[in-house]
Amino acid sequence: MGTFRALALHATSRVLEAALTLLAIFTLSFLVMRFAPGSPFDRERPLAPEVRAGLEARYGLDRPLLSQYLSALAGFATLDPGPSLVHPERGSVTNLLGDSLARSAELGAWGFLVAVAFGLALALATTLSARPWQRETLRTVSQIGLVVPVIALGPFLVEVFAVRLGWLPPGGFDGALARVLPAAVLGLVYGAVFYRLFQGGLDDTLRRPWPLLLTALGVRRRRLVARHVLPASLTPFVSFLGPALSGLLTGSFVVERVFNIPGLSVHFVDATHERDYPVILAIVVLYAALLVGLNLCADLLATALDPRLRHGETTSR
Amino acid sequence: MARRRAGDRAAMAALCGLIALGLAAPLAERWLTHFSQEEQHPLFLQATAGTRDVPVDHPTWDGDPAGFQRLDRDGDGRLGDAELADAEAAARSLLFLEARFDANRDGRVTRAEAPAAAPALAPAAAWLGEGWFEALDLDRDGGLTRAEIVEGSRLLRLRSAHVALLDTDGDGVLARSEWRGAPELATFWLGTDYQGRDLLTRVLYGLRLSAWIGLAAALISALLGALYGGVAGYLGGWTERALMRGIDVLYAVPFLFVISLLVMTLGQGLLNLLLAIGLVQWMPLARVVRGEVARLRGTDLYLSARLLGLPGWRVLVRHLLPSALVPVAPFATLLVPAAILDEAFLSFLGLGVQPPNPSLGVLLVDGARGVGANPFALACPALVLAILLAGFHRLGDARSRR
Repeated sequence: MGTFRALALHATSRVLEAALTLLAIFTLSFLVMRFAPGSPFDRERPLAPEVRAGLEARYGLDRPLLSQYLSALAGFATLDPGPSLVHPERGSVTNLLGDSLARSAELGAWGFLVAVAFGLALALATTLSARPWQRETLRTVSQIGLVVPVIALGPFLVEVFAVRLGWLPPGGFDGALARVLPAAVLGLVYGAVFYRLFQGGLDDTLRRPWPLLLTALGVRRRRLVARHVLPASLTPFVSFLGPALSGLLTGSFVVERVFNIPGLSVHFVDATHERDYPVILAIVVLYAALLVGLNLCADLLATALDPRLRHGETTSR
Repeated sequence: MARRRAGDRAAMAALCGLIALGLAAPLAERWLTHFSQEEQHPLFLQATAGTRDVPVDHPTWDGDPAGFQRLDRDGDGRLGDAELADAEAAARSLLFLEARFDANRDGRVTRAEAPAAAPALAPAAAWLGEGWFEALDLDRDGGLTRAEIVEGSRLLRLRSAHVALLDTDGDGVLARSEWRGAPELATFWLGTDYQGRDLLTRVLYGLRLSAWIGLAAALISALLGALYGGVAGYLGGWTERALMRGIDVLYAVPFLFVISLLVMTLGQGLLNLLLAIGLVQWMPLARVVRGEVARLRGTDLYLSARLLGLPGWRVLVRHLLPSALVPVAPFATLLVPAAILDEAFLSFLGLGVQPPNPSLGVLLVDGARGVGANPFALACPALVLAILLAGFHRLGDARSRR
């Protein structure tokens, strides 16, 4: 009972913190955007002053900054950030981003799965391999994703598998085959990050006394690692899940552009060039909300898994 | 362990070698590649590695005296403007031979295709004589490739820039005694990019700029992080909590958004780019510095400095921060590859460095446009970037193990 109350208290405080963080991010991006040069109504040919004034009045851009801020905040709180300033014909920002969000999220999920599989497989192989040169080779292979950026890896894989071999489509997001390359690229890059976490966890756990005891009791190494050491060494992975997913989200941003996937990144880049304030703000807040939410989940998960974290030294140290 | 140390040493050597190469880019441009980074060669778009080009501004000379006789058509022992202009026209008609008369587009002008070219080749034929086809067909396979045509027109490509180089007495004409031979062709060692620019020169310059950006941006973030974390750790209490909570907030925004918004606000330009990258990467460092300064504040180092009557800021900047920086060094090293990658992503979004200076990121983006024609255009910058990043990663890891 006491445990449950402590957990609930911890969860409440973390949720409040997350909400405050989101508010701060909203405010910051709102201010940065408004002080950036340029306006959504800059066109190739300047608009007539009265047309411009009319547009600004229609979207409330002529009101004082504080009033604009409050109405924007109210819009976001009710999940309706209003229409796009540059493309009002496309409907509200929520409609505009809905489909793309689904695609981005799906890509991120596939990338995450591939990354975990890749990182875990290589980490286990490294731990189980006996010879130093095998370990060193696996370690080097796992780091490819860290040193070859997505913008090189993507076009290279497209050239090989789409253009030369013709096995996979070069881009887009139609059909299962089109998801293979983007997910593989994302998985390769973040698999390298996950590999370091898994590998570090396995190494640390293996250095403790009890695996030695189990070995002395006659447990085979393969079984020892798979059944006993691996479950005990997942803590660094779980506690790093939040930042890792944040990296995955940002990475999927680039992957979307490399493979021409109509996800959120298209809207963001267009919107920054056009100064489409509600769209920029919506995407930034959306990503931040995802990050904060994922961090929150990872944090609560770690707390639930490891009772020590609930008492005394909590997170963020 | 010994194996890892050897690996570290190899990585260090590769890193130092690369940085030296980057620093030597202007020398390489003058003595090795003979191309400048922005020089476009429209006849050589996406040429493959090893293609030879028309002579550039600072060629070497082949020293063949026969060339002078062929160029000096009136036999007065001097080369004037008129003779050079004729040669230039002849060379131009030759160079378009392949583009215009290769009827079946197989990259070779054969004997059968050649007669159609004869009228257009009149200026060149006057130079090369009746057997012009055989004279150009160096490998005697009955077909002219672009390489053979370029090679054959080498002598005719003497430009006024070259005359100025050869003309030692400055009278505007070349005498026989001033002749040092026809210009040797410069080679695109790695081929060219989609605009016909020499890849090797651009990779060297890109390496230089990327290394610069990485080091400078890392320095900015290190300074910022050290100050921020130092102040937080030194003051403690609610200031510390507020400052650290600020970092948590910034952590929740994907860095690409922050950089894009910053570049949007500051405007494009190298300095703003450095600032934008530096303003994003400092947070992990600030956390480490905060912990370290907070620890040092409880030691005798702090106490004795304060007992000497030094003001607080001086104790922090002169005494606590330098000691705190030792365990922080590996983190600072890892900031360099992070900054280099950030710049590459920004270049990909069109927010990075602007022409004429290429960074490795710009080169990757350019290279991706023409991987099919010249794979080196993507592979070379990617390889250089990989070695650079791996070197810095390895360095950071080695220092944190120590």
